[in-house]
Formats: sequence, structure tokens, C-alpha cells
Amino acid sequence: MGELVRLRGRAQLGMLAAVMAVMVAGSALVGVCVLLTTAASQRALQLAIVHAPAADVQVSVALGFPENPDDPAVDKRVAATARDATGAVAQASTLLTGTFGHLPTTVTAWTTTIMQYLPEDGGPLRLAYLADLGDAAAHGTILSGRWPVAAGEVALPTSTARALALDVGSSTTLAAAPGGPSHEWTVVGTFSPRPDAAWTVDPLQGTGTGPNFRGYISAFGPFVVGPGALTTSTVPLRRVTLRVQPALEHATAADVASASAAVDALGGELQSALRDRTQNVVVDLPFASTVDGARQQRGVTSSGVLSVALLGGALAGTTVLLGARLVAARRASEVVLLVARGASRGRLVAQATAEAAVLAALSIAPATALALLVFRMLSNAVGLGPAGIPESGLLQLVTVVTAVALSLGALLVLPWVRTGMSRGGREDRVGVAARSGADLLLVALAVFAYLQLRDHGIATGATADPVLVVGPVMFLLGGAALALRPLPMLARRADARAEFARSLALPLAAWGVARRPQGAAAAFLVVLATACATFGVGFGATWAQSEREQAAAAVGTDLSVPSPVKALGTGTALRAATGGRVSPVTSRTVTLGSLTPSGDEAVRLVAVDTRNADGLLRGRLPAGGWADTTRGLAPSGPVGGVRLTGTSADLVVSGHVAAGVSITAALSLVVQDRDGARAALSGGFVALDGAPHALSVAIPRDVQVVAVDARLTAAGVVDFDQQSHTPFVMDVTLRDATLSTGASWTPVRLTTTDQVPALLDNITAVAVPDGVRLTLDGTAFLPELSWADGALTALAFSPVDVVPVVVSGRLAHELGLKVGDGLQLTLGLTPVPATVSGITAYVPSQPRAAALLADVDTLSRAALSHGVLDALTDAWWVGGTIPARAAATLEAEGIGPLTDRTAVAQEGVDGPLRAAQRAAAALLVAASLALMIVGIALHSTTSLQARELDVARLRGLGASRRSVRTSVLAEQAVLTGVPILVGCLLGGFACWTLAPLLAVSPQGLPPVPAATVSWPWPAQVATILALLLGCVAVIVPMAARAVRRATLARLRMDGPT
Amino acid sequence: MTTETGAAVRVRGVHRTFGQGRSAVHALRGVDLDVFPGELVALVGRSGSGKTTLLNLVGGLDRPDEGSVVVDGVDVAALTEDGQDQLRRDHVSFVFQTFGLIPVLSAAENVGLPLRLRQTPVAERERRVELLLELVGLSAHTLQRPDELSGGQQQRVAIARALAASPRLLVADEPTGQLDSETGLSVMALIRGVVEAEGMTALVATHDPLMIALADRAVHLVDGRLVEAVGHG
Repeated sequence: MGELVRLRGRAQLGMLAAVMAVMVAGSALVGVCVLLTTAASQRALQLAIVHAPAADVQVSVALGFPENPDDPAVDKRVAATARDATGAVAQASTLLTGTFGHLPTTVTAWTTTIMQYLPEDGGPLRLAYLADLGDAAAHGTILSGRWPVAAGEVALPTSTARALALDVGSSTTLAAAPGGPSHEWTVVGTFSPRPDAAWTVDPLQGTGTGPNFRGYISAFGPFVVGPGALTTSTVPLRRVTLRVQPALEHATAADVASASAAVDALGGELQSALRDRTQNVVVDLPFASTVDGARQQRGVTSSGVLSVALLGGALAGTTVLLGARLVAARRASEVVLLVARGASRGRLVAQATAEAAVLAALSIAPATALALLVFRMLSNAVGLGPAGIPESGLLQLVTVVTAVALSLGALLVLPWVRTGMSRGGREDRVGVAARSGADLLLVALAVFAYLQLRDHGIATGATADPVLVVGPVMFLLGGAALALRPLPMLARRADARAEFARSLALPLAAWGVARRPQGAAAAFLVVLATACATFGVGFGATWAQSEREQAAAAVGTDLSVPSPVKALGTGTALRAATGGRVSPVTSRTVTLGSLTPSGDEAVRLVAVDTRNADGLLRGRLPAGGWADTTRGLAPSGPVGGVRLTGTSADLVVSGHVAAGVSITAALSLVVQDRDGARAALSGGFVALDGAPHALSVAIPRDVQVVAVDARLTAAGVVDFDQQSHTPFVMDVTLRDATLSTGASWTPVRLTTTDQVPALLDNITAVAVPDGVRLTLDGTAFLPELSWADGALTALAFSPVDVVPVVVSGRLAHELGLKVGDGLQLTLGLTPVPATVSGITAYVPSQPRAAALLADVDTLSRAALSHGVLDALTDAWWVGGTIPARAAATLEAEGIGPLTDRTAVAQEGVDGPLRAAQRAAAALLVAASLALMIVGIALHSTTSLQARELDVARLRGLGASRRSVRTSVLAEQAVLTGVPILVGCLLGGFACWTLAPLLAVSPQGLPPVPAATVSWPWPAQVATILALLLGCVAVIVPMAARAVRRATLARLRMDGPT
Repeated sequence: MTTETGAAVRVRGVHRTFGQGRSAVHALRGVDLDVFPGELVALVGRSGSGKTTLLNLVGGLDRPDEGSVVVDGVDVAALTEDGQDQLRRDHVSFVFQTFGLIPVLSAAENVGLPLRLRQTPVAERERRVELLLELVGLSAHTLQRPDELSGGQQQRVAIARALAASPRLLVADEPTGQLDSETGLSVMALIRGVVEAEGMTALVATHDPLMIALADRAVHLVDGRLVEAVGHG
């Protein structure tokens, strides 16, 4: 038997080589997919982490200490650490840097002390604090003097220095208690805080002043000391923040994996090491979040790749079956001879099995080599670069390739196992029944797969999702089986019509199609391959479009930047650099009524200039645009006020109040820049003693005062039993100012049933020779004013009581909201009423959150109308085409980090974590084309060889070579062209139904907005043309050759000589 | 249908060799033959004597190395491929030992093939097919495919197909070779009958004595050479 197999193999080398080539290609295809989910996956994770923004790969810990360590209730160890945190800091630093192994790291520390008291100046108590910024020059720009180096030296933010009337060379003291022992500090420099996320840990967020710190007292700082000065200071610490920044440029995949494992345990280690010496330990691990996110993306990508592996395996299997049929046809006469000589069916099966095993074994090495070669080419093509393959990965590859080769080899034995021979020309009833059962099973699985995908919510875990893997495969296989069902019926119709034709060529083709059933497997291959190719192209376009839409919804605009500490004037710099539409933006978590959820459940408020909605907001809505959605949110009334020139607002304030009453006023100016950003600038304290007091407030250029706020405080001895209403008048004269046209000034009247300490009755604004004078007339109520500040706010616009908002679908669903319902937002500590004016699918920049969208001008007016002076500008958005150089320009001005919508979209489509999916999609299209063409060649070889004698007989009857060739080509065209058409329709249908379900977000969630089908006609036409031309390139020469060969020589061989 | 000698078929000095050198097979060595119109000539010889080769040359399925073959006044060897196709379509029909039917076509469809080649109108084609199948006694088997017919029935279908285009010359190569004697005799009688009825000329290769007895004349091929008649009907 072995000799027969060997001799026969040598004689039929070409045919067997073709079959083996298919086995090699199919095994290699699956092998490449395995490498894409292993080696490429590791490489992608490495690249994603290495190229992640620096802030996304940090790890940090904040050690918190009590505000008053001398409190007897405070643990002694905690109190001791608050005074000397050297040991705790060292231990925390060791744990943090140990996470990254041998990789270089940079450790920065930011230390702040507890609040201390500034010297009393007859006014309210004031607080200040010390801070060690580590590398101070990295966080601030020195404007005068220098950074402190010696003990007792400090540098101040310019806003702090101005507010406290301190300058380089002056001194002040800080004491633990009012009037208690103090320590003197000398100012050696003033600085401007850089726009830096690190300032978020500062108690005043880098503003330098906090007029309403903790709701009741003014605070100033930080007083920046020299490096390490706080370790020798006696002032207890309030907070120490350690931040570790790894340098990942040369990190390998193993380094990243090791760091990922270490950071998972870091939080627990820090807690157990430090919690007994601190009040709290707050761990922030952006590195872990970034790695988790990358792993999730990897899992989603792997699902797509494994789908391709399964589809490729199905295509290869079908092609091998066609090859097996060719082999069986070639050996039909040999089988007859062997059976006549007594060979049993079992022996024939054994011979076939032996041969298949040899072919499978011979396929393993070339398939492995081909898989490695194709993988390297694809890796480079999709931007992963050289992706090394670990030893374990190579073993896994060989194992998979071997398994696939053996499986394909088993298919070669199938024709020999099948019992019975089909009667010439008639369908085998057993085969029909078997096919029917398999077809119906595949269809049932396809329907099941669709239902599973439709109801599938979240891709499971960091590994491939079974539903995403198997669903599309089942759908396409079942669809291909179902799509073939009508073909025999169509063929029978063509057969019937052939009777009425005069000619021979087309009726012959129709008879061949209708009466030769062996084309079913070839037709299935063509349908499946075409469907895979067109589905792959369509899904790729749908997915890429969805990624871009998700990026637009996630960013919300074209360019987003967090607001610098000093928001005013930022819009001018943005507009100069980008040339786009600019808007200040509020983007923060808010409380709704009594609801204070956190994390993913938090309610987000986004407020933007809705007058430019279409120019600013991005993200596709199910219907309409953002202008329609936000209609009615913007205020209609004008804003008046006082226009200022220069960079300093010089005021003269004088106040008159009844004799015997001593009142001081803390004055703030709310200014607005040309882009609508508003901020409250503290003017200082004045006594309403009739004397003029000069104040100065640093302002950006081109601003106008839109509100004036005065907080009155009664000073001196007050008779608590004597109720009195004391009128007062306060004149605020702004020098070098002009009145803006627009609304008149209006006092804020807060809605409350409580007795207010003071009321503002009237405001007048008149132009005076040196500027504008605002006169505030009001009434102070005693003794209320002695135990509560009287808040007086004058507005240069009509007050806004209720903020109209558009709520997201999620929020509306969770709270059962409908249009017209009322809400209560809490800005700071103040409730502000709102009303639902619309419901939208999502809010820009908050695609999944329970969120509200408002107009930033309306929100700001409403906040001021309710006495809220907090700055509402959290970010700036820019709409329009962003020039490439804008990023560099803005970062040089200290504005950043920038979030560019197109860059985010590009990362989502072309980033390393999606590279394997792009590679697999390209592989699917190429493999579909190649395997289909090979399968067509194998099938055509079989069918044309079987037709040789018939062709010869027709030539013997006088049929011309041309008519016979036409008939053969027409038959092949129908057998190929109709399945290609059916495959295109199936691929299109699969794309229409499945692609939006498969285009999940990088985290495996349903995308927001929901994906819509994209059908790229040029690419699809090119794919279909490639399929058609490939078939033509194979079939036409083969048919011509068969007709040439099958003529006279074949006839002569058909009978005795 | 005559040559200048009055023969329907004239073969002169025909040589045909297959292969080269030592493995060359001289199938025909200077064969001369005349077949006259209306004759049924039996071509007799053992296997390998050159009968099929001579028939293929007469039918335009092959070309001689030397000599000429003139059928109906036309030098077959000088015809182009299209000319030979036309010869087989309009003037010469073949009946093969292995019947030569298309397996996926019914008896009626097989018989209608030559008429489709001539673009015969559908109604006329159907009439002709019905007539021919009746002539060969297979009116009840029009829709059956070759694998559903006996050997004799298949040969009858082949004969009907051969007659469809009303050829002038019928060439049959061992038409009863795969049939039993009784069936073979009926087939030969059928050939004899249609040759007389249709007035055509027939050249039949056979080594069946019963077939030889039905022929007008028999010519004997021995090792590629023609030996004159060995008795005739």
C-alpha cells in the first residue's frame, strides 16, 4: 500500500501540490490570526503604554494628615508623622518606584502645611499656608525676585502678593493660632502658576486667593518654601503628594507586563504600609487604568481577529473539499480497477488517510514559515513594527498550524468515506438530505447568532468575547448555505427555457448548470468568499466611521483644553493660534437635588456657548443638529456693565453708614473677557467709614465688569437685643472706565424666608470725569450682620432665576424626567433651579454619562443671580479646522494639554491596539480572494476534465470550437457569476445587520452614538472586480485549454483502433 | 454526391503513422478505396488493422500523412478546421461503438443536437426528433437519459442522432461491438433499413459476420493495407 501511495503521489505531483498549497495557505492563515492575538497583542499593549500621555502612566499617592494634629483625639503616630513625614515619604517613594522595576522613574513631591493665621489687621481673620512644590520652577514662572533657597524665605503667587500687599523684600508672619507665637517669612520672589494639573492638589487650586475658603474665611497661598525646608520646619503637614513618572521609551513588552502586575497590588501595599501613620492614604493609579483600558481594547480587537480565523478556516476547508473532489475524480478509474481486484472500501479509506497524513505533515513546516512571514509583513504594514515572537508563542503557533493542517487533511478523506456513487447527472438523495439538514442547522445558528449579537451589551473581559467571535461566522456560514437554496430552482427554470432555444451554446450551459450537481461546494465557496470579502470591506468602513463618531462624541468639539488657573484671556490666545470659534466651557460633576452619586453614576454638567452650537459641538445625533437641540438655552437679554482698559482696575471705594455702626465690605469685581468667560476678582476690604479707599485689581486686557459683589460684615460691639435697619451707601468709582450700553444694573434678591443681614435696594451707574461710578444703596440689618455676612451682588444684566437645560437620555430615563420638569442644581454649595427644555441622546463630551447641557452664559448669569461667585470655566472648546502648528503654539504659551478630536479619532482607527483588527480585515479580504480563485481552479479542473469527452462528442457532431467554448464559458460564468452576485448580496446584508452590532467601543460597550452602516462603494467595486477578474483569469484559459484538448485526440481515444 | 470517378468516397494512397522512430505505428499503408453512392460497405479487419483510423480520415476527424481523401467531391484533408466542422455537421455523421451520447441530455435532446447546430427552428426540430425516435422504435423513451436506457436503445438513439441532419454519408465504427448478437443484428438491420430508406451511403467498420452479410460489399484491412472484398451481400 505504501508503495502505491508513493508511486501515485509522484505521478500526480502537480495535483497533490495544488491541494497541499491550499492546506499550507489555510493553516498559515489561522496561524497568522493566532500570532495577531498573541505576539501582536503584546506588542500593541507595549506601544500603547509607551506612547501614552505622561499623565496617563503616572502613579501617585497622597498622604493626608489632620488639620489640627494637637487635637487629643488624633492618633499620636499620625500626629508625629504630620510633624516629620520623612520616613513615611521614603517608604511610599520606594513602593511607588518599585512598581516599574529597572525602568528609570522621576519622583516629585508636593507638600502643603496646615492653615496658619496671618497677622490681624483689624479685619476678619485670614489664613495662609506653606508649600514645598519640589521642583518649583516646573510649576510656576518667577515674575520678580527668585525662588527661595534658605530657611525663612518664601515666594508668593502674584495674586497672593497683591492681595496681602506684599512684595519682594517684605515680610509677614504666620501663627498656629490668632495672636499666638508666629514665625517670620521673608518674600524673595513672586510667581505665576503654570497651567499644570499638579495644582489640583493645592488647597486654592493655584488661584492664590480664596475669599470664601471653606465657606466662611479668606485664605491665601501657597507660601512656597525652598526644597526640603518643610522637613526642618515645625509647621505640621496637611498633605504630601508623591507622584512617580516612569520613562517608558525603552520599555519592553515584558517590562510593561511586569509593571502592570505590580501596580495591581500597589494600592493595597501603600494602604497597609502607611494607614497607621496618616489620616488617609489616597492612591491614584492612572497607569493601572490605562493598562486596563488597553487590555479591554485588546480583547475587543482579539474578537475580530479570531472571527477572521474561523472564517478563513471555513474557506480553506471548503477549498480543500474541492481539492479532494478533484483527486477523487482523477482516481475514479483507478478505484474501479482496485475494487475489481478485490480492494475493500476500508482499504481505500486507509490509503487516502495515509496520503492525507503525509500531506498534512508536509504542510506544517511551510505553513509555519508562511505564517511568520505574513505576520511580519502585516505587523510592519499596520504600524506595529517588528513584533518579536516569544518561544511560547512559537510553540503555540506550531500547535495551531498542526491542528489545522490535520483537520484539513481529514477533509481529504471525506470523499472516500462517503458511501454510494451518484447516478450520472441525478442528485444523490442521501447527499441532498444531509445537505438539507446541515443547511437548516446553519440557518438556525445564523439566526441565533444575530439575536445574541443584538442583545449583547458588553464585550466580556480582556480576552476575546465568544459572541463577537462566533456570531459573524455563524451568520455568514448560515447565510451562505441559505443563499444557495434558490440556485437549483433558478437552474431548473433555465433548463426548462433551454427547450425553446434554437441554438446550442446557451442551452448546453443551462443544462450543465442545472443537471451537474457537483458545483454545490464550489458555489458555496464563491458565495462565502465573496460575502467575507465584501462584509470585511463594509465592516471595516463602518467600524472606522463609528470610531470617528465616538471620538467626536467623547471630545465634544474639535479642540478641547482644560482651563488654566487664570481663565480670562485664554480665549484670545486660542483664537489667535487656531482661527476657530472659541467658547469657555463648564464641565463638572454636580449634585441634583439630594442625589450625590459618584464615579460612573455622577451627574455631569456641561455648559457651552450654544449660540455657536453647530460651529462648536461635535457628535452625530440620531436626528437634527446641535443648534436645534440647544435652541432656547441661550439668554436673550443684553449684558451691560463697565468697560475697563489697561491691565489694572483701579477703584476708589467709599461708604457711608449711620453713626455708631461699623461695617466693612469685602469687594469683588466679576469681570468678563471678550469670549464670555467670567471670573470674580477680589478687590480687598474697605471700611464704610466715609473715607475714600483706593484698591487695585489685576485684570487682563479688554474686560468689562458685569457684576459687583460686596460682603458686609459688622465690626465692633453690637447690641444683640437691639434690632435696627441701618441704611448705607457705597460708592465704587472705577478709573479709566466707560459705561457699556445694554442692560441697567439690577440687585440680586435671594429667595429666602430667613432675615437677611443686608439688602441691596438700588444701584446706579454714572459716567464721571475719571471713569464710572457705581452707587450701591442698601440696608444693613443688625444684629444679624454681626453673625452672618451680608452678601450684596449688583448685576449688569437681568437676573436669571431658572436655568433651562437639555438632559441626556440616560439621565431622563434614570430620573423619569420629561420636558418641563424642574431640577435643582447645586453649584458649589448653592442650589440653582433648572428646568428640562429638551432630551438628547447624549451630551457632547459625556457620551455615556447622566448629564445636562446648558448655555454657559445662562448658567453664569444664573449663578451670579444666586450669589455664586465661583469660576465656572473648567475648559475651553474650539470649533473649526485646527492648524497643525496650533498645538505647538499653545503649549509654548502654557496652554494644554490639548485634546484634538481628529487625533483621538486617528488613534481609535490607526492606534496600535486596533492594528491587529486592521491586519485581520486585510487578511480576510486577501484570503477570500486567493482561496476562492484556487477553489475555482480546482473545481474547474475537475468539471472541465469530466466534460472533455462530451466536448469531443460535440465537436464530432460538427460543433465549432467557438460554440463549444462559448457554451463552456457560459456555464462557468453562471456557476461563478451568480454565486458572486449572491455573495455580494449576502455580504451587504450581513454588513447592514451585523456591522453596527459588531462596531463596539474600544472598551467593548455599545458605541455612542450608535453605529450606522458605511458602504464604501469604490472599495467594494474594486473588491468585486478583483474577485471577478481573478475568476476570469482562471476560468477562461482553463476552458480554452480544455476545449483544445478535448477535441479530436479525445474522440480518437474513445474507441478501439 | 460523387467524385470524378462517381464514388461518394474516394481514398487514394493514404498513409497514416502514429508516433515516431522505433515506436511508430503505421496504421494505414497506401490505402485506396472507393465507396459509391447508396452503398453499405463493411470495413472488415481485426483489432489494430486500421479500421477506426480509416473511418476517422474519411470523417474528417484526422488528417492523412500522405494521400487524399475526397468525400462528396471535397478533399477532406485540405479543409480548414471550420470546413471539417461543416463537413461533420452537414454531410457526414458518425455512430460510435461507445454510442457517444451526452449523459446529462435525454434521448430527444441528444437526437436534437445536430439540428441545434444547424439552427433549425424549434417546431421543425421537434418534429424531426419525434420522427427519428419513432423510426428507431424509441417513441416511448424520449425523456429518458442514456443511463436509463439499455445498450441497444442507446445505440438506436445514436443512430437517430446521426440521421437527424440527413447526412449523405454515415460512418459507423463497430456499432454493435458492445451489444449482444440479437441486439446487434437488430441495430444492423436498422442501419441497413435507414440507408436504403434515406438513400445515403454508409461505411461501417465491423468484424461481425452477420453485419458483413448485410453489407453490399466488404473490404478487408490487414495491417493497414486494403485487401479486396471478401464476399458481400
